[in-house]
Amino acid sequence: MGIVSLGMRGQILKGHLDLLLLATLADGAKHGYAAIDALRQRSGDAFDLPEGTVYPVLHRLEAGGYLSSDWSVVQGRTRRTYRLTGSGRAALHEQRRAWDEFATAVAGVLAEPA
Amino acid sequence: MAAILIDEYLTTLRAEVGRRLEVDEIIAEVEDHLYSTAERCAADGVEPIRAQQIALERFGEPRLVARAFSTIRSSKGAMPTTSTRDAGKFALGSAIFWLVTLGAWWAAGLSEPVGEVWGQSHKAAYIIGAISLIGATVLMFAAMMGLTLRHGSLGRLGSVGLGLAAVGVVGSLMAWVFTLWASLLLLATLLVAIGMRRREIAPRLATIAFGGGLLVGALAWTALRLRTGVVDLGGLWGTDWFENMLGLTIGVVILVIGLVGLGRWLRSEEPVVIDRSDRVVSA
Repeated sequence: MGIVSLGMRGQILKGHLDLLLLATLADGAKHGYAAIDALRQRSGDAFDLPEGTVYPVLHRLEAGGYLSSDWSVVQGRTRRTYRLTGSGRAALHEQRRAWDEFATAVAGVLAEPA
Repeated sequence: MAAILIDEYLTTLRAEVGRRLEVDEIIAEVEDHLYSTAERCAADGVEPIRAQQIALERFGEPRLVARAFSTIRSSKGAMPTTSTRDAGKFALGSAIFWLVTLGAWWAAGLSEPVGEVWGQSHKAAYIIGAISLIGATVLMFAAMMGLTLRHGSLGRLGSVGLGLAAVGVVGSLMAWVFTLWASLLLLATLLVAIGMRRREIAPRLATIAFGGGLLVGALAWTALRLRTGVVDLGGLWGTDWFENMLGLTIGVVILVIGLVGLGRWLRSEEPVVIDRSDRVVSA
């Protein structure tokens, strides 16, 4: 795949990172490392951003009320764990619906003419 | 594992992130991530130094990460601190003062025939109630400050609620104009509770009781006053003092349940202390 395609994939990923992070937290609270790892695994290694750039997104989602976080001490390290709030679940549901509509529309355009 | 590379990275990242409110929390979170990655690699048989290098490569250059953080507003995250348990004490203390206020004012109202509320025999009870009210509102305001710190932020609604609570404390100096301070505190507790529910950290029922108590009391008071056909928005006493006290009691009892629940929760929290160096200190 060429450089242009890799750049496009990166931009597409960035544009949907909120949705992807909300989805990784839908099945339970996770700390940042676990959320990023789940994102990578569930995408089959297709989504592989610099991990440090994901944390500001998590913080922004928390500031927006879609996530809440709490701290604990694990093996001598402070750990911040995130989970979806009610607003986050509602936003995830809405964004999933919007994505499904978008994907259906794109598929329709890209379909080979009969 | 001696983590020289990770420590050097964290020092550089701290310098790049600069003066953000939450810089210590950012560094602590990044440290946990990098160590988790390195430990996972080491468990897969990778040599420790190489494991650290992999962790840092996957995380990204400090300048890139700092630039990503610069795109969001600086704010404190939710974290139990050493002041959290003090906030719990304030909440429990406020609950006690509220109950003393109610008890004193019921004693004041019931000890004299209706219409003679300024008689000597219950003036002391009224004054005790009025002083206790000030204690209740001051401690409740302090507890609300502590709840805000515990949550990191309660948003605009919570900030407005805190402001109203401060004004309500001043209003409580005029204990006889109970519709004034009760209304302010009703709005204050409601807005702060809404801010807390959005974060979904504090116990749900205690938060609802705290935020809805005075509202329920106001509705009860309104219903009672409409029944008697008298709607006087002024003082607590007079021929309708019973309806006033009943409405106030209903509201305050529910509020006290909320304060006790929140106070016990805050008191049970283990403070998390983040050392300002790049080494973490456990709680």
